[in-house]
Amino acid sequence: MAAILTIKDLYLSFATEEGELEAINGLNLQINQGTIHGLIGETGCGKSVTGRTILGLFDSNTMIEGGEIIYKGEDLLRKTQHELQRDYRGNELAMIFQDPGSSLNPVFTIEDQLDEVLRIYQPASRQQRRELMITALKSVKLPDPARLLKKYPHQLSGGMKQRVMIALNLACQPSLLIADEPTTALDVSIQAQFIQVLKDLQQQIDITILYITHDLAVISEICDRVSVMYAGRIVENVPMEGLFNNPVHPYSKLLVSSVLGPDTDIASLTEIPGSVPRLINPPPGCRFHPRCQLDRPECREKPPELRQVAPDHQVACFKEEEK
Amino acid sequence: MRDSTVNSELESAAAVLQAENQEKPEIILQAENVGKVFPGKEGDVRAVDSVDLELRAGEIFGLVGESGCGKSTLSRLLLRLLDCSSGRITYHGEDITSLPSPQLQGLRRKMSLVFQDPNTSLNPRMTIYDNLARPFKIHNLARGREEITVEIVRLLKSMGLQAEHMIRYPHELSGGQKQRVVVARALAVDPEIIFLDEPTSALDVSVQAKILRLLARIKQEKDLTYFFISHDINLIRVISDRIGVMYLGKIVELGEVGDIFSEPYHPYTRGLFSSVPEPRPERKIETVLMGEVPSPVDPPEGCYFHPRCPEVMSVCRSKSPEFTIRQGRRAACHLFEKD
Repeated sequence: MAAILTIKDLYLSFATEEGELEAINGLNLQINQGTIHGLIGETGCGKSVTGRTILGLFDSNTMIEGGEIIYKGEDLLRKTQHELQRDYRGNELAMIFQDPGSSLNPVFTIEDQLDEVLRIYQPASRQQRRELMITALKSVKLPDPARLLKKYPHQLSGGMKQRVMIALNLACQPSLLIADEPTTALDVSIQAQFIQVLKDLQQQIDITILYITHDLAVISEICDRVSVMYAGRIVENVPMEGLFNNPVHPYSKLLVSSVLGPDTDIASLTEIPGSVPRLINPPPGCRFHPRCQLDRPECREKPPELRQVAPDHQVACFKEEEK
Repeated sequence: MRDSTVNSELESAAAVLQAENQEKPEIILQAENVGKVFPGKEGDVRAVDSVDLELRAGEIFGLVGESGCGKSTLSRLLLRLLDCSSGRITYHGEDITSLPSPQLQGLRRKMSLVFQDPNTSLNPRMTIYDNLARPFKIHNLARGREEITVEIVRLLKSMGLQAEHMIRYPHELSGGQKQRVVVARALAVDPEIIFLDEPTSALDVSVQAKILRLLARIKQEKDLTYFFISHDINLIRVISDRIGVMYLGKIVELGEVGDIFSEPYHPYTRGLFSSVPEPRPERKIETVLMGEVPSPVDPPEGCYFHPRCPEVMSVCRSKSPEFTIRQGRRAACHLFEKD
């Protein structure tokens, strides 16, 4: 399958008062056209930073130290902010965030906000734009779109706001949608509706989705492939079923077995010893070694590279390199 | 017709009593017909509406429901942090519904509380020592710095933390460590019941596992009773003995966790459970609960759930279902009343 986006050896740091925070440390990721690709990891592992970096959304203390982000043959890291804004954001790449409440402007109606996007990206008359808006809202299964357009964000529930965000993003027909924890703020029944909408859309239109989450259960609902991230690196790339049935990296294994399912009992619940390392002066070598049962001398020396262990399945662990 | 229903109800009530007598679970805390109305600009909000439930000694009672359904308000009513608008709460048979504040002090020692976000439940400007010393000072449980220090070290160790954490400030600790300090503080007064309001939802899964195991262990050691609130259905299923399902201020179903999960009676319970994603690739969400929770300012006529209910009948639109007990199980649904 063709890659729509390939990240190669990305290194990114933040300058902080305490020193350099190495947020992304040699990240390699390939997202194939037409898939829903999950990016999973715990708080602070760099998954959201990865998403924002693809769109070139940087804080002022960000330092890109190396690497490439190849999107349809072009390196996005070599584009200026102006070029990214003109050629990529909106019509090629789009992003939705965790909290839909803070993504919408509270003082404008939904119509104002959708129309603003359409005016920039779609050359169309006012009447045509209105029809496009209604179609967009219908495509995310929002009831009574004409009335909804007149409403302000505070008049909508969280689930509706998140669907408006999707509609707003899809109005410009992007090829890659980055969804950063889109259902974390939603209730389960609303989350289920949202996942359904996203899955249906992905079937209907040609869109690739990078789904960033900490929730393994959501991954199992929606994703085709998954990348497991730990302390700024990808430790495992695997088809979704493989992550649950045959996780290989010690961190992935622990992550999968610490998730609560219907048959879990508290006594057998696995906990991962220790905690996520601080990324100012992170542990040398494999960043997982202080918490890993397989900890060996070579793990402390250099970080393991991603190696193929099966078709479509890569793992970054010295244990696997021996085999 | 009426007699037969009354009879069957009596029979089932008798069966429940019998079962309860066999196990002799002591009821610690009981809510009868408890309600809370908050006055609002657009009208009164019935946050909690005629709730009946009891907490039995040594159990973990799980309360599930979606945001805004009144879970947290109900727990605050039971804790007497809020006053009830109606109904009655008893603690070991004693009416505490309108206990005046001097006597509440004693009650506070018996029931403590752990909130969702450890960052906001600890005072950021106090060291861990000072945060933990407060309950000892307020309730006069230990005197002098030395005695308090001994107690605090003991508490920290039982939580798997070290004595040196005492001199740290909350921001120097990880989220999981902070939550363990909050649990330690709740234990300081040697309570009978701990109310846990979403204690792990701000934590990562690996840390959540740690806190859950810790909670299970100290419950065993100290013979505690938990009132566990969560929106996470998998979590409630794993941890609880009995559960209550809340929707728009009412408890719609209540019973043993095994019974409710193997055969949920209320259509809302069924819809809620089927919306939960499971970490299993072969199982996908099939039925999705349509629509959204209506506003509690203007709830629908009849059964509050009827606009979203896949099994709605005409009676549901006009008449609110009673909380019916049958074979130890309770549900508020006309379907449950009928068959």
